[in-house]
Amino acid sequence: MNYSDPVITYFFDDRFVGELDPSLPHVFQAESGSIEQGAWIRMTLQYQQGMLKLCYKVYGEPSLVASCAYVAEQIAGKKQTDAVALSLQSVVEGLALHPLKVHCAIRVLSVLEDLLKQLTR
Amino acid sequence: MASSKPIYLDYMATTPIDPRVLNEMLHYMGVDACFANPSSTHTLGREAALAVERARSQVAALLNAQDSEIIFTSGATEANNLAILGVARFYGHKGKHIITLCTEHKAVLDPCAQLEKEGYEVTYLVPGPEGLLDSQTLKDALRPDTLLVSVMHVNNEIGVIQDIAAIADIVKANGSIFHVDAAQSAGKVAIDVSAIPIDLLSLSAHKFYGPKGVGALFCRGNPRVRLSPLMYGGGQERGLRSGTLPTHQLVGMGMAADIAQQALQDEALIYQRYKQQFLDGLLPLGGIHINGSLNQALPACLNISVEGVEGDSLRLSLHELCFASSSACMASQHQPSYVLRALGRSPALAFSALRLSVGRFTKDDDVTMAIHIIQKQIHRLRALRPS
Repeated sequence: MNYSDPVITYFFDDRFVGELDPSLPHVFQAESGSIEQGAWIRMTLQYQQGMLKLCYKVYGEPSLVASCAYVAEQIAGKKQTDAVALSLQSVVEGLALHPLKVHCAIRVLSVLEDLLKQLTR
Repeated sequence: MASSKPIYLDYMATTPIDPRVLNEMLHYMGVDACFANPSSTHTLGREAALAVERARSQVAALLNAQDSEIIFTSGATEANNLAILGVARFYGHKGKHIITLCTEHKAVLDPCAQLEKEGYEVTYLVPGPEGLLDSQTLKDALRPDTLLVSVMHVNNEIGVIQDIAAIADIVKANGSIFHVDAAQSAGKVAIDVSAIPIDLLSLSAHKFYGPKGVGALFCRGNPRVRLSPLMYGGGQERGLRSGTLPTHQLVGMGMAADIAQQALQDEALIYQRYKQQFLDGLLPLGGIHINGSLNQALPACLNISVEGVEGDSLRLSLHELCFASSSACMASQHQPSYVLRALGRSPALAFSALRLSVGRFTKDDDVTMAIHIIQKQIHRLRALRPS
């Protein structure tokens, strides 16, 4: 598999790797997949003073790792409404994802959607 | 990604041409060189023919064979095809049963699959968890109508060395023909066909610092093994491999064989030291699984699976290194290695395999740096993973 330049860049971008204690106030956590499935994401969303911060842990192929890093960067410092507006198309375009790897972005955005629902509740 | 030259650790896939070999080849290319057709009877043709016969002697010497037992081919794939299909088509009336290993290279498995379509029965033996063939497994599979047994000397993915001498004795006791794919062992492991009753043996020059596109098949002269050719034409190579002989390629292979034979023992000691360095540097990381036997293996090759990291991410992380995760010939198929799966590895571990192979031009610093890079990237990927 030849990876696009953005996928390679974000694959090696560890700025938002990590997790927060979900028992803390305004911290939400969601997860998808497993090591057996070959794809496993755990994302933590922190909401502070109207701003979002997303961090993640991930096991999986480079496009999945890059999708996590890209989405976390897009969310950083944004408002909830901006996060809701983050579309699949923008992630696919931002990473120049190969059509066979779009499922990676879908999986990451579904975890984000889960987190935003928790935040709304 | 960094643009510096990556560290080459893929000598099992191919080797660079040794500069001494390349220099010798140049004497047989170009207008001022000995470029003539070695089949031509004029002065230059005879000169080229002498060079071809010298190369034949050099390749024969590598195996302790007779010059007349060497058939030049385009490589090991053609030699394997000529051996397997050639035997089956010449002796097909005597038996229709063939035995091989499920961990063989595709250049053996695919001709066998073709013969199945032509009515032959092929038994694919499964090696033990270390990749080695159990002699009793072979004995149990042999039948009176077993025409041919084909076993590779050194496995291309895991580097294990089969006990060819013991296997040959079992096969010959059954009266079957014995073929050895020695693409990964010729020039790296001593082979003596005068001492071991091998009937046919394939090799490829580019695995031992010769040029790509040339190889040879050893075909025993006494007792004589007969083959049906795959190609028809000018009748070169005693009618078994028609086609103009590529003098420069053959000269290159001959010289490479000569150098390999002289360097074999000293190089093995260096490679064993490198292998130990890799083991000392990587095993402490934990979750490192050695694929194949560690003791009965080529010193130049180490195959490990890394637990807890995804294969594609591991490969991208190690972009500063040139290594393989399976056979180069299978790399485009993006399937877990069938060799590692046959050894019982899970799909995940088969996917996270690293075949690290060193060679003549590997430097001490290359190994030190490669270990550092692998350690760093495995740590990074494991730190990424949820727990």
